[in-house]
Amino acid sequence: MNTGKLERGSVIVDLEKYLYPESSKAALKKINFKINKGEFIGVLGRTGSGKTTSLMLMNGLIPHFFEGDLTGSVVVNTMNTQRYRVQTLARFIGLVMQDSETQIFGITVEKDTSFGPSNLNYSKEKIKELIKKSLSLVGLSGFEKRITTELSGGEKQRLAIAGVLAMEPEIIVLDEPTSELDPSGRAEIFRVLSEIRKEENVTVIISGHDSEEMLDFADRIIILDEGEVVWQGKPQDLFKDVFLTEKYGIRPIESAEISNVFHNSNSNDSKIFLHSEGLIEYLKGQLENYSVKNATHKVSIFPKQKKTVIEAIGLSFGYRKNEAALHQINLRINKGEFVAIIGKNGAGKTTFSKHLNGLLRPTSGQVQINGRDIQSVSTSELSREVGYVFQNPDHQIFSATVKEEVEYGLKNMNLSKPEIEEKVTRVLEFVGLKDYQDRHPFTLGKGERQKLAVASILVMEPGILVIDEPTTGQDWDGTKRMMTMMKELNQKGHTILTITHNLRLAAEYADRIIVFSNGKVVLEGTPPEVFSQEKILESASISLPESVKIGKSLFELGFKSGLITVNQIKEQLLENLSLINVN
Amino acid sequence: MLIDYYPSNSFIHSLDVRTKILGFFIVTVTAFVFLSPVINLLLVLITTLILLSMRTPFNKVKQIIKPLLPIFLIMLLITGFTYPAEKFQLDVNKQILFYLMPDNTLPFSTGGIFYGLTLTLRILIMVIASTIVTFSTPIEDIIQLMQKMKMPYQLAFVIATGIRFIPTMQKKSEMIQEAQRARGTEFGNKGLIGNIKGYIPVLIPMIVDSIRMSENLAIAMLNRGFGAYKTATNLHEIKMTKKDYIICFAELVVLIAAIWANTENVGVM
Amino acid sequence: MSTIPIPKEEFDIYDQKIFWSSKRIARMAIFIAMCAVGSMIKVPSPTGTVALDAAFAFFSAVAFGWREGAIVAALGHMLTALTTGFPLGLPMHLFISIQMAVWVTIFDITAKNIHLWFGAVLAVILNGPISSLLVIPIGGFGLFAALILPLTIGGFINVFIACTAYLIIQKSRMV
Ligand SMILES: Nc1ncnc2c1ncn2[C@@H]1O[C@H](COP(=O)(O)OP(=O)(O)OP(=O)(O)O)[C@@H](O)[C@H]1O
Ligand SMILES: Nc1ncnc2c1ncn2[C@@H]1O[C@H](COP(=O)(O)OP(=O)(O)OP(=O)(O)O)[C@@H](O)[C@H]1O
Ligand SMILES: [Mg+2]
Ligand SMILES: [Mg+2]
Repeated sequence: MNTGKLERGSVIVDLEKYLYPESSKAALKKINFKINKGEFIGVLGRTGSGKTTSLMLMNGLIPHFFEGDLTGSVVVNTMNTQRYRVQTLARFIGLVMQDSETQIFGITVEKDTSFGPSNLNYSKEKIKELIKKSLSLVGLSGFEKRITTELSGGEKQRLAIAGVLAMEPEIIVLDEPTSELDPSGRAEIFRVLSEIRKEENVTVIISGHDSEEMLDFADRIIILDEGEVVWQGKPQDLFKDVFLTEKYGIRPIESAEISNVFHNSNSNDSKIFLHSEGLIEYLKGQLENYSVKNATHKVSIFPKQKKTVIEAIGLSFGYRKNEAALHQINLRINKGEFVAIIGKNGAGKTTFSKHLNGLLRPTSGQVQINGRDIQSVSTSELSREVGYVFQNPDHQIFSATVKEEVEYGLKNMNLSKPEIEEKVTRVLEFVGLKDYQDRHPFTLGKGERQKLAVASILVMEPGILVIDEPTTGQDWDGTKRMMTMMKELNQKGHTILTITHNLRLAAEYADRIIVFSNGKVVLEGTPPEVFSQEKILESASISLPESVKIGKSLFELGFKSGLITVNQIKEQLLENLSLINVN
Repeated sequence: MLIDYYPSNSFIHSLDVRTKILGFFIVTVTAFVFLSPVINLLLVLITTLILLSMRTPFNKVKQIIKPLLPIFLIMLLITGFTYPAEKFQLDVNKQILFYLMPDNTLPFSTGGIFYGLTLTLRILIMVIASTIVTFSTPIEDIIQLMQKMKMPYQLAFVIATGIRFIPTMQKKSEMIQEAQRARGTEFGNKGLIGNIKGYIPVLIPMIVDSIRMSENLAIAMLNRGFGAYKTATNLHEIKMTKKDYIICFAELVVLIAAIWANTENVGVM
Repeated sequence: MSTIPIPKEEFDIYDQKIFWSSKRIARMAIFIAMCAVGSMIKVPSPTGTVALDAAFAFFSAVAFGWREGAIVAALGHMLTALTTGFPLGLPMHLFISIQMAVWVTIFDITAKNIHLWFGAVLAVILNGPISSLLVIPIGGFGLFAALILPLTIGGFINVFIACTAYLIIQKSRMV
């Protein structure tokens, strides 16, 4: 039993189970926790583990909006949620959902922020005051008259937060607010939240997959798995335990993963470092007087053919007149390369890649695919050479079965029936959807729908695959699976071009990284080359992954250059482990 | 923006939405009262002058009217041929200009063409008058007017939110069409049934996405306290000023004059 | 422990059970926006391009009932007209939007009680020939002649797409 103190700003959940309507499997079971006023809580867990469900439980959406079958009680701000309407609870607990778009009601920022307080029938004067205050808390002062649809992703998310702050809640709950944002936007959201907590003394509860930020900002972490609370505690304790993060599908902190090579189950774990600075300091102390033995391992870059498959020559493009989204892009991509495109939100990554299959046409300059200028080649013809997987699988799924969905592209190509049958079977086997082939696609989970989208492109056997942000909003396991699948395709000979905000993935999987900033290519080269250009990266608002920082210091300590991934560093350290004083 | 409101500090912009709607109503009634094209031509002139006085982009009006021109032409011709000339009161109008077919079938009368002109001008007047209202009135004012007319608050909210979501859904629709084109879908040039089939892969994701989004939207509404009370605070109220009362009075005078003139046989054909 | 004052009125309304539930309000808002967006999608046809504006209203009716469908049809048409600056003038659009609501209602009732495709055929007849007949008092026989073919083909495309989409989506039990 939970015996928490009943006070305003607290949340006490004591739940036996909850089942969604018409569902036979409990989405949550045996959830017991207590959150105190002013705490900053991180909720972590795999996709489908019940994060969203448990957050909706707190403001009464469950059981009022999603009725279902609930046993147990939830007491928020001293109020039993079963006895109050969501609208009433909204005065005390504000919930910000994942999709910022559907949380914006007003045409202008000011109008949108007023939506909450005006629903509560506050006076005009009070509403104006609340607008001013909440916009300034999220750093949107001066944006009052801006049109909401023209805000950037990060600004929209902050506006959504301002919208609930305007109702002066005692608790603010956020469901994966950062999944669409680049690393700097992500950090900004956490910074704003901790600022709000300090100034207003509100309780903050946030779910997501941002390990670094959770470590830096949260007071306590709650891990859900299969609908149960499986772990609670300090973020430091969680992230120091690499096995724990592994077990619950949480992305580990790079420094912890690396320093895990020193882990000795007999001694205490003081040699696990959560920040690169600490680890570097430690290594310096240990390695001062030794000469490092550099392991000569296989280099994972296998020989590439020199045939150019994609070439952009002086490519410029503008969505509007006099406003270039791309300036003078010159790029060449060879057959069989695995290329990662990185850059902050709005840098022009998607705009560039849409030129590769003719969805957008250059304002000036040209694009060549397999040696021919594609200016007058239609997108449908190019779809056989360049496969494009969009970020949101739901934008393309329309069939009544998985199989029909995959067949669609081939039907556009006028192939014979047995040929279609054979290719579809092969692709479904490759992505692991064979058992689902007669299922209705809309009843699949998000991860499966993403695979289906890939399969429906792959079936056309394009030599070049463009994949836009394939891992957004996925958990760590899903991310690794997706990247492994891309690597396999690459090894089968496909040229892969992927857009990502996850620099760690770019470092680990890509042969080459291209950095976009303000519509220009500011940097390109192998991952070690790119990550050595700190100045340029900084001007493109990209900060180095922790593992790269550690690799750099290791180089200064006599290790070989170009160590950038967690695995490379671990390998080198293991090689030298005898040198390092472990006791 | 998709909604054709153009801020300006013209006289028309400064009027209350109710004054403008009343004016609109009176212009429309007047256009329907008279049969003769002369009076409707006069009304076109007056409304065009008012529109010009607002200093809003005139090009937009041309864009609206241009696609109507073929319809106007068909209306003119067909009315010219088919309207029975003997029904006209004035002799000029009974005059038959020529017959399209031998043996006096399908006569083309002056009255017919004049009547056709009246019909097309009526539509033109309504179009221009609507433009005056939409160009000069922010949508919030219209929604507030609807609430003042005792329309349920929820309905007003549906309209305002619908408008807010047009650009968002437009972007979605573009992304969906791009996703399907990238899979080799070609739109158009496949015959009527082929064309329709080509759009199924676009329409289904649009509908499914709309349903998913609407669930999220409903949740977000509750999160922001929608429905806590039966109504919500309006930050901005529409207000009638002295100017509005004077103009409304003038408008009513015009209406009475028009009806009186009609009973006195002005503008018959 | 401090007590929390809750205004009395808040206990009265139970929104999930009534017609104007938040779910329905949200869905109507999104669907009327989709009507306006659909009007910008142009399907080529023998009589010029056809906009997919009414498809969402017909879908809304079969999927969510005639009351919701009728409101979506009427408001969807008004919003479509608004985004293009009332090309036929306000009164004409009000007239069309009431008509649309009636057609959608008849469509849904016949589709549910007789057969989906019977309702569809009826809807095409109402949307094409009957709608054109109804403009005679305003624009005379000339306007009738100018409108009958495009309206019939437009109605056919919109109703056909709505019904096909409904049959596919229905299988997923989303509606
Ligand atoms: N509306 C619903 N109806 C029925 N089942 C649902 C519904 N929403 C979620 N579920 C199920 O409840 C479980 C928990 O889902 P939930 O969305 O809470 O997970 P999550 O941790 O938020 O995942 P994600 O990281 O993907 O957002 C899943 O098994 C899911 O399939
Ligand atoms: N359809 C569009 N119409 C007008 N401007 C656009 C459109 N799409 C993108 N832009 C603008 O072009 C610029 C580049 O956008 P793009 O989508 O290519 O960025 P990105 O690097 O893919 O960003 P993200 O990481 O957010 O996906 C941005 O300033 C964006 O606002
Ligand atoms: Mg979730
Ligand atoms: Mg992008």
